[in-house]
Amino acid sequence: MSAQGDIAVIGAGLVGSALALGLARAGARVTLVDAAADDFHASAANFGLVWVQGKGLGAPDYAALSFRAAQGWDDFATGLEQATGISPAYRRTGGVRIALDEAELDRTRANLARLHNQPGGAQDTEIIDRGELREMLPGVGAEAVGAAYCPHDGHADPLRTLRAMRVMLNSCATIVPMQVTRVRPQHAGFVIEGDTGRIEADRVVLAAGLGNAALAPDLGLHAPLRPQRGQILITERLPKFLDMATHTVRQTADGTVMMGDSKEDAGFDRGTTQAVAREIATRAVRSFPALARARLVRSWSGLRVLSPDGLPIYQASATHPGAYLVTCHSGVTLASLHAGEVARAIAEDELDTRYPEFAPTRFEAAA
Amino acid sequence: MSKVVDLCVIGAGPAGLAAAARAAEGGLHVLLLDEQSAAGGQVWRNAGTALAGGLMPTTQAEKVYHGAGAALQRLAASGVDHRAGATLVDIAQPETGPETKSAPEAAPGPEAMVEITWRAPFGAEAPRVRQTAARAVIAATGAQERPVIFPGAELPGVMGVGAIQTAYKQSGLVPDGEGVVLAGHGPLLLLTLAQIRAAGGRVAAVLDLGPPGAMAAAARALPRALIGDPALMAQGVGLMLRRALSGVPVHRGVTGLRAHGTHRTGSIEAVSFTSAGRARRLPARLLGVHDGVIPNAQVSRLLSLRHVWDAGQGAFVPVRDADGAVAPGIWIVGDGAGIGGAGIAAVDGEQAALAVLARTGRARTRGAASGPQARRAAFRRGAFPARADGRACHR
Amino acid sequence: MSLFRRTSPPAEAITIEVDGRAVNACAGDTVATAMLAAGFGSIGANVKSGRPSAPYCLIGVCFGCQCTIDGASDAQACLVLARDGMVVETPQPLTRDGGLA
Repeated sequence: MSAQGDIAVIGAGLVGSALALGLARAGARVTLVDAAADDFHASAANFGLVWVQGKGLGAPDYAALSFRAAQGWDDFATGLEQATGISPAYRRTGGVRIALDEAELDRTRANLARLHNQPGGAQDTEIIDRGELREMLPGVGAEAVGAAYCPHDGHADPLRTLRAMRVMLNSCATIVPMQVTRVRPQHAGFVIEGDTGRIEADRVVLAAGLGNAALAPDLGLHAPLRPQRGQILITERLPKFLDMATHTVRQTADGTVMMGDSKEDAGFDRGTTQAVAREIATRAVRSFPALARARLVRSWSGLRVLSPDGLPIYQASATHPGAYLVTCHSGVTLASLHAGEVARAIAEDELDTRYPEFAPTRFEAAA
Repeated sequence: MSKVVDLCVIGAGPAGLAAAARAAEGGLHVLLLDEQSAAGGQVWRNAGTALAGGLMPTTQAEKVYHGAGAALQRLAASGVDHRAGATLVDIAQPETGPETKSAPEAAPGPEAMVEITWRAPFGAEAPRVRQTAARAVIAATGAQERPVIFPGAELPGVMGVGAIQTAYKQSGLVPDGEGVVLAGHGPLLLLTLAQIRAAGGRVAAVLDLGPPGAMAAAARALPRALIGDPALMAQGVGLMLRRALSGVPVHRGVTGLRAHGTHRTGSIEAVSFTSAGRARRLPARLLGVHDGVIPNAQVSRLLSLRHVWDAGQGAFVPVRDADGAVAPGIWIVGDGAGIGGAGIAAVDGEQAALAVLARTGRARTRGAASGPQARRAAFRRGAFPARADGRACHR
Repeated sequence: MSLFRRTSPPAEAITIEVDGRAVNACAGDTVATAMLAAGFGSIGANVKSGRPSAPYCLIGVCFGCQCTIDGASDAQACLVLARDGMVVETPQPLTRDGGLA
């Protein structure tokens, strides 16, 4: 079976678009299938962190993956901007996880200690005290007792990143708007059936987020995914006061301030709630008191794509060679790798051999 | 601290006033929230002042505001808790499960409350943001003008003709001086033109953005729209239009509308467009635009309701049952559910209130389900002509 | 020169303060109609571009008139009845320096 040839990527969010880009760069003829308004749209709701610290507790390969991804983001962003003129607005500013009381700081410190003790360590993350935090972030609130700081953390604009990738893909891939209902193997490859027709391809990659669960079984792929809701608030444009990324508050290149990080079990409901908005706003104001006077412009929610252990699933089908599954909940952070080494792994049909730790067999072993 | 009420009505125009009063008369504890500073909605804006002679002669006010006085007196007598200047922040429907979909046919639980978050009126004492739990909600948010989108539409000095109407009703303001241009189509545009002329104002030009024949259709629809100004109606439509349009250049078949702003203040200083194959540019200080009215759908969108495209209205309208219910415990009535005008809106509001009362076992009769619907359809067809096409004015 | 003139019988005169200047108004005006009558070309600022904005709808749906009234930064001038002594501040352009205005 040839490593190149036609390959269809189903799902045109951050994951699918990055994979499609990487596959096209690797020489494949790529068709990107985009359900547009009918999909779950996780990428459009993303907070925008390119985050390393704290990741991979108990999973050193994931910690290493996130670190490599952050390292690759500069080149990834530069490449997109040079090709399209659209900047993903990536800044590796370092990031902090602010603790607003001693109990939070203790928990963060304990997690960090455990990370230090595993292979690969804690990716240069360290605890900083109140004084150091105040030096880094003059506007931080008096309740902040300290933070975990990692110099490799940063943030980017998810929508601009997606747009830049789409502009590039317009000239190096075929984009088909279609809501996929089924993917079936056929004599020499796969047929993708949807609401507006059908597509044939030698190989197929499922990158449709929560939509993967329905499509996977026909292809011998396993996508045990559940939605986890996160709500985000965004303010009017404000004078620049925060360059660094924090895990719940960040100021975008436009000057607007995004606040978030709820984790809710709400099924597939993408509504927003007053109770969570209050919690998010309260924490944001405790972190940066000047935000109390900022006007809120909009709120929205997104559904994170979570596997049982929260780690990515990279799978090559054993029963249907040529079918692959890629899913994660850090679509921004991992975009650089998805457009690079992961796409190359798929192109060379080495996805399962290069990422054995992310195969879904780990769930069966645990069960 | 949650207050608990039997019914929360959102909007104090004709529909909301009727719904709130009817429900309170039936014995329910009713909270009426309205973001305007006084009851009456848009069509009855500033009714109190007008009926007391503070805006126009009382004989004229009694015609223009027909029904408003009675509705406001009914409200005052009904015991409704009316909060003027209160802004809705959020409505949370009762939990129906992980897949929260609105289904008018789903039966509400016995104590399933709708949680309303609202901002207290300006100057009210703390807390500013309050929450009320309601057993039922009737949203009567009314209509708004369909936004007219073209380059420069956001410049200061560009406004809907509805805003010009509102400035008149609120404070007796009339456009003044040179450079007053009206663009768009529809009866409200012609009415605004007529009112400006009748008040002695000058209109530099009318830009007809409608498809061929739209202006004539708008003129035919004018009698119903003139319910807003019987003084003009008394002149007869033909005479009124002749007077209004005399000396006012009318440019037909206008395309490529653009507003241009000054560098210094950013306000509009000119409009450019193409008409009869010629490119034109006119000085303009005030550009009044109009492309019909549509339901103010903010509440129905907030509730993630299903909407359908109504080609006749050129708008999305929420899917409702015969009483106006859109979800368990939630009704949408009046122009906010579909354009029909003040008369239909009041009947609609009463109908929903009766349904709420029936739900609590307090209504003696339900009222005819088909009557208001039939009247709505007829009224809608008559007063606001169907758009000739579904495209925006700016081509 | 104002875009509008008053035609109704004179009502009770009141005074509001806009960006530090005394402005004559009438009881029954909203802050928006008072400012339009007094000749203000803009009231708010576009949330995205920062450029001046003015009322488009005057009924509370366009947010062109959003400004600070008596210290509340989310006031819509068309929804607030003008009262004698009210203090109105229109949005200032974003400054380069840090800190919120």
